[in-house]
Amino acid sequence: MGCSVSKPEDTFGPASAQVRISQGVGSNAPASSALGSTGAERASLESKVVLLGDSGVGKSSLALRFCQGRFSPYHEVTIGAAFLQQIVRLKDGSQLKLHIWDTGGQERFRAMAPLYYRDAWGAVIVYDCSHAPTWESVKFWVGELQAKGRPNCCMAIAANKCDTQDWQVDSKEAREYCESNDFIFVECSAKTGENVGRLFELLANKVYQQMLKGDPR
Amino acid sequence: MTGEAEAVGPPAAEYDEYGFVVPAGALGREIVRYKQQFQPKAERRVTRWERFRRADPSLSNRRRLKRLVRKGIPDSFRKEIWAHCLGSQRLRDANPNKFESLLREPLSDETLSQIELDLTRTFPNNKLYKYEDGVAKLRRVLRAFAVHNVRVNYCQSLNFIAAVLLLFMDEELAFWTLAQVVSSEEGAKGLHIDGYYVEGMDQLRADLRALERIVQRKFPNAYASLRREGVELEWVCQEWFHTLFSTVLPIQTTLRVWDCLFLEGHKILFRVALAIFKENELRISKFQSLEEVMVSMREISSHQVDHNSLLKAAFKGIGRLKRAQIRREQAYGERMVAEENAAAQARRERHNQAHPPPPAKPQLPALDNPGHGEAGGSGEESPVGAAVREAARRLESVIDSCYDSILGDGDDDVDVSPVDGEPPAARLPGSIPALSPDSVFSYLGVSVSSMLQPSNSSDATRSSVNVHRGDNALATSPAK
Repeated sequence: MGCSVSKPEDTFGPASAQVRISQGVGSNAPASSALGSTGAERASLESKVVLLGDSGVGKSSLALRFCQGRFSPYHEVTIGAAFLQQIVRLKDGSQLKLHIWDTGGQERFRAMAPLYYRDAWGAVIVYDCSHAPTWESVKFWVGELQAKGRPNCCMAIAANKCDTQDWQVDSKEAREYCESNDFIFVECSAKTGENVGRLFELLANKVYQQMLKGDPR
Repeated sequence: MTGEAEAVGPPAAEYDEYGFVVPAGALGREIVRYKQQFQPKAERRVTRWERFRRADPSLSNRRRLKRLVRKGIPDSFRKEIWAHCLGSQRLRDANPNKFESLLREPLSDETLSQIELDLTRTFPNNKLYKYEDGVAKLRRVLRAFAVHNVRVNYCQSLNFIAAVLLLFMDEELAFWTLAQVVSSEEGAKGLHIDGYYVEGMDQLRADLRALERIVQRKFPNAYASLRREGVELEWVCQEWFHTLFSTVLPIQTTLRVWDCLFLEGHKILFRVALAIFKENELRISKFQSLEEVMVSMREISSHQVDHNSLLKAAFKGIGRLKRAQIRREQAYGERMVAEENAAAQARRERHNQAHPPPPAKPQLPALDNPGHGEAGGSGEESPVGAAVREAARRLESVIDSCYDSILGDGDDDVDVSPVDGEPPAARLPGSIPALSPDSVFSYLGVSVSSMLQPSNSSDATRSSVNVHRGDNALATSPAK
């Protein structure tokens, strides 16, 4: 219900992660600038993506880095969810507009999370690689999405704060877990910007393929 | 007022009288301009309040108090009047050493680290919370509260509410005021919104459903516009209620809202939310995409600079809104949330049956109620699920019968809370002291204490959701 999907003109070529970000639309930009003047100029496809993970792992910072290209060490606590968007241009020229829902992380807000993830095509589950307990919650969110999310929701696991000197989560374990479950795995840092684009590009790519296959429901 | 100079960089920011950075650009200019325009009114109000305080030191004329509060409490009186309206001054006087002793109590590492994590993320745009001094005050208020209110402990959003209180109050009074804002320990005062901040947040979800129904009825075009674009009202309004508007409205407007909220109670949240729709009905009705709705609704709330006109809309513009009507819609919301919880539980169970959880996963405890104890492996419904559903069903009937018996006070303008906090228990639904989950369930004849024990299990937590809801529902029923 949250995403309107119009038929793409072209079929998607060989799986490729080489996508390019064409244009950013900040959450504070006037709404009118987010829209083309005619329907034809709009991104041909829109897709809802949700950010999940423990409090303080950097969900808002990843969203802010990706959508507005900036980093703020003191970002206000997210209550409920924040809406941001970014257009990803895929290699074949088609565009995918990501509606990014950045959710509140405190465990108590989990009761509200289905409101935001239930019709999402993709999810980025974020943990802090310098804080081990946040990795445990990744599995909780995977279970939630599998049980109550959109069937075949594409998942990406993001190991944020990879610029840290104090690694507490073994990336090998995380990587193996993701490979065996067919999840995207990216080590990234919202602070330095490392791999943040790649994270969302990989996910956009996968979501796009999923959307071409159609909704299994 | 600075025009271009504001945009130079964060360090050169200009602060308003409450320590907040004046927003850059047009919004900042509008705030400054409105403040100047409002100045003569504000000065007249100070004079009127001074006269009122001299003539009525004990604030016994409630009608007059309410009229003045609706027009806005001057900054210099806010601390005193808020503390009076919520009864927090009285609590403080009655418990002189409580705050300090609470601070000596231990808290779990989880709570401590969550509070710590949020301190620097609470109004980073306010001068007070840029420095350790202000941060330390906020830390102590939140820690004391977490010890004091065991059920709520610490929940995000309380950090923002406490931070605004601390702009006017010392730590101890801010603590007692926060305690009263969330629940109520002093007479009929307080908002009774514990259920917004506990596991499951059932009361919040139910209130948002209630709000949705009222918006739908009062502003059908605006509502249709949101639905057309696939927007859930909860996406927009959850934060409004959860932080009592403090993170969405300009601070000057938030304060005006809180003036009325603290005196008149919870229904003000509904009135103000509806007023935001009322004031922007035309614009909202014309939204053409999901992103336009989400971006513009955020912008609309942050631009409610004209607090006078918003408050006028809240009390006059939106038309009648009886307490009884809100209660009815809340009851509907509670039913919806109970159904949602049951469906989520069932879905999770189905999923767990299809994909057996890893051994590390915490298991649900067995009920000691022999009738439901052993469900075997085949049942579609777990014993806990069944017990919770049964409890919810019984609560529903309790709630329904209560509404009929206690909601004679339809008239919105009738004062129902007393000035001095003598609880008029039979009249005011909000005045009944909250019952403990155990007493609620013994009343309901359901044995749940055993299923609540391992609260770190996510499934058990889910099951306990309805228990909390029951607690709230009964807290608003009349004393027998």
